[in-house]
Amino acid sequence: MNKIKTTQDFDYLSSKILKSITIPKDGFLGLLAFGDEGLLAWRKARGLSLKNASQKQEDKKKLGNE
Amino acid sequence: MSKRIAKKLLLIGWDSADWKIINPLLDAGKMPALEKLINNGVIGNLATLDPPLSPVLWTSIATGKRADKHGILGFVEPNPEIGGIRPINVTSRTCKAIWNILHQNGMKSNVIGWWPSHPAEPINGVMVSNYFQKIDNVAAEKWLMPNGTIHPESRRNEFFKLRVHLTELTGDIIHPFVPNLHLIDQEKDTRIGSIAQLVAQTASLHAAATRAMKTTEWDFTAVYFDAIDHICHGFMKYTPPQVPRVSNEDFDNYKDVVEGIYLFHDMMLERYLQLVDDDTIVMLISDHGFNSEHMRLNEIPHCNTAPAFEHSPFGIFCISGPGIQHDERVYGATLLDIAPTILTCFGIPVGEDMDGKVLLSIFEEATSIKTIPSWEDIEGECGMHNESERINTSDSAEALQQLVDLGYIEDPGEDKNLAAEKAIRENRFYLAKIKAIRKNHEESLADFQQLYEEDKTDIRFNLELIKLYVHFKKFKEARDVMSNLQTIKDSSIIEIEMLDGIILFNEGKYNKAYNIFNALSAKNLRQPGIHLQLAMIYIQMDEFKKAIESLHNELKIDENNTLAHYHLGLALLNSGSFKEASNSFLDCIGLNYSFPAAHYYLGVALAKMDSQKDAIGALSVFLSLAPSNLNARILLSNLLKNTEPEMAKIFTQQINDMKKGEVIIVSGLPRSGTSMMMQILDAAGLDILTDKIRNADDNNPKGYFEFEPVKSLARDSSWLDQADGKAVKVIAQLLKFLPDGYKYKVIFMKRDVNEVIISQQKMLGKDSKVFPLALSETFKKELNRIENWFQIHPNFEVVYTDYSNLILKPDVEICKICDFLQIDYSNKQRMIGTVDSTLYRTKL
Repeated sequence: MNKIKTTQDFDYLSSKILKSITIPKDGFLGLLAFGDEGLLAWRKARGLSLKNASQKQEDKKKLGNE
Repeated sequence: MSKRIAKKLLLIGWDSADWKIINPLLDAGKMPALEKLINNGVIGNLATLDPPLSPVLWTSIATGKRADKHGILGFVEPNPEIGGIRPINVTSRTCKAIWNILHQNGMKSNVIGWWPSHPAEPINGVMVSNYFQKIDNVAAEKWLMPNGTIHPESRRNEFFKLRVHLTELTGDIIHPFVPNLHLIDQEKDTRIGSIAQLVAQTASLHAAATRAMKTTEWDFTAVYFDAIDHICHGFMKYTPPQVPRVSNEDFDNYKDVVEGIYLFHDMMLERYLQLVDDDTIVMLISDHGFNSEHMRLNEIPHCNTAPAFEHSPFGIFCISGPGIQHDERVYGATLLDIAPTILTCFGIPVGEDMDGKVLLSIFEEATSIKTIPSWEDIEGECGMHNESERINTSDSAEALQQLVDLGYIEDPGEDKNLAAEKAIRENRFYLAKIKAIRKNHEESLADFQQLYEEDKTDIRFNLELIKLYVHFKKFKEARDVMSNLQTIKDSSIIEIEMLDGIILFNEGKYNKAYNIFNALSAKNLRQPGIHLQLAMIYIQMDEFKKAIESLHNELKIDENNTLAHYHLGLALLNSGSFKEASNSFLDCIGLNYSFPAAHYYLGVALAKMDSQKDAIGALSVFLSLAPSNLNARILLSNLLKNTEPEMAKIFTQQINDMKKGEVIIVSGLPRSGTSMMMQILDAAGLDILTDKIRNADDNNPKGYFEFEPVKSLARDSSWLDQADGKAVKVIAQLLKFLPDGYKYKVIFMKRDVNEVIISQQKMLGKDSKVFPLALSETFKKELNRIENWFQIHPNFEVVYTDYSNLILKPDVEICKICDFLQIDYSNKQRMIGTVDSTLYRTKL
């Protein structure tokens, strides 16, 4: 099983990126508790986007076309 | 359709949520969303069902039916395609769920994560199956979503992106659950990973639910979370107070995990309350509770579904919204009541084949219940799968592995056939249990005999078989199985001792049973059941004060023990404490409404308190649960004869139709004149039940008029049918063993207790100058107890006859007897002639 990143990820609590979204008083966990919008905001804050294999293929194709 | 109470209804399921854990968090202000819901609504306990397995229970919640009717019997089922087993899926459900019924009524539903709900049903709305959030051991990029997870399929990609993989989570997410996270070496300690997995899965489901609620027009949304249950199974042992088997390090690291998951759920609840409007009813439930504090198990037994041993029998119920009472409590709710209650909220008829009831007391206004025979008979599209629908079996492998990891099922291993056989046996086990619950004990016994023969090493088969043998009074067979149980490695010594005591108790060997339970209670084990069994013995021995003390001890261990509340009520009732008794019966009913005897004795207690209207109400409820009972009708007839004579007449007619017979009983202490009374009745021309085995002697020169089988009444009352319409002598101490179903007219002989004792001393050839004072006190108490006992047994009609009055004024006493027995005076002189004053030899 992949391990959860610990100390290094605490940096996000003071990240500049977070200034662009409203963080609920419960912090990042509060964002997850906010539902789909909170999840997307949380991912945005962390610069993450989850893509499946077919989407990745599509991205590659797009890059290839460019 | 009847009146629709709710425009919309949101049903939230928190598997395993328990008020005992929630209440301190509420008190500390840590669950503000739930507090809001509670303050604006109705709360209560929700009694769970047997088998206590989540897929079975959540299907009962969704259908209002027990497992034998809905077809979901466990965690896994045989895989018809490739052999072996697979997690149970929704195609095995054999009846309609709430959302299918709503579908047929033109309403729209969202169903998120319900267990089981894969493959997603084609309902009018959105269904996200319980495979949606399951994380396999692959990187996030390779994490696929099984076919059939989302309905409609057109929204698959949208929901796909709402799944959270555990590797996405960062330390700050886990930190609230494990404040010492940065100190834990995750290479050695994998518990952080399991927390992360559950948080990720919960976040996935929550994101799907909120998305569905915001993007659809819906009437009904149901969302189910299992994280509280899984977290409790993994981490309840670390919660305060610290137990000896947990190290200081583990306690410090993981003591906050259970609290953390509850707070996370409250944060999600807050979001749901934001997403609903004033027209929405919100219902929050759990399928069972979870044992905490001193109720935690030291060790989980080694058997299938063993984690269920950690569950407690009451889940939570909380409802708030339009038409719902404020700041109230509901009593006696069970999981089976959820579906009928939701249908009533929507003004939709309840299926008469549903096993639950509508929780009418939650509504602000009086609500009528409409019913139809069965929703299964209503044809047309309902959003269920076709018969031919089958799941892609390879998709279920990961879900299966998670069940193995959580300890709910054994690792099926390589042998697919063996795994399938075991799954079938598990299903048979639960069906056999349900048969016993439905009082079909004969079939249940046959099933368990077969299961036991197939696998004598399964502790559960042993225990259930013993219970059934005891039910059928097959004590030798019960002991044979117990001998086998003793040979099983994981069987509990204490449990075996308790079983031994229970068998002895049921054999009527109260002293031996007492020795066992008294010794166990002295060990201060805090094991549930010991004080209860001890109290039951005390009640049989008429030691009501001691019974009350033991029952208070039992309730200190588990305040939700329905049997303890019930027996406390019985002990108090027999002690003449009617108000306290009624409170105990109410406590019992509050926990388990479907406990007929508690309603009956509540009625008896209320009748004794002259609360006639309430007594009639309690007895009426009892008769709705146990329609064939005679005693309740007798009591109701007595209660109604002055205020509603016509109704009383109806009950009297029913009593005459139903009673097995009417028996005249002559009773009293030995040597109180019972034989003389039998002679009087003989002279009156009544039929006397006697075998004349005991001949007349100097002590009773005119004969004893006894019937030998009466002596073994405690064990065998089958001879009672011979006594119908006749008079039989039964000594006072044996009266309580006379079976229900008969009406008894009792002539109870009273004689000065000291005269009785001296007469007995003479009869036994003892020195009559030595007077046993203690015995005198015992007899007085005994007589007092019997008088109390008559008061709470309405099928016993009693007349007291004083022995010395009978000798001195036979005319008066015999007229009283004739009136009582409703016989004419034509034989009065013959009856008087049997009274021989010369036999009154012991006078004080």
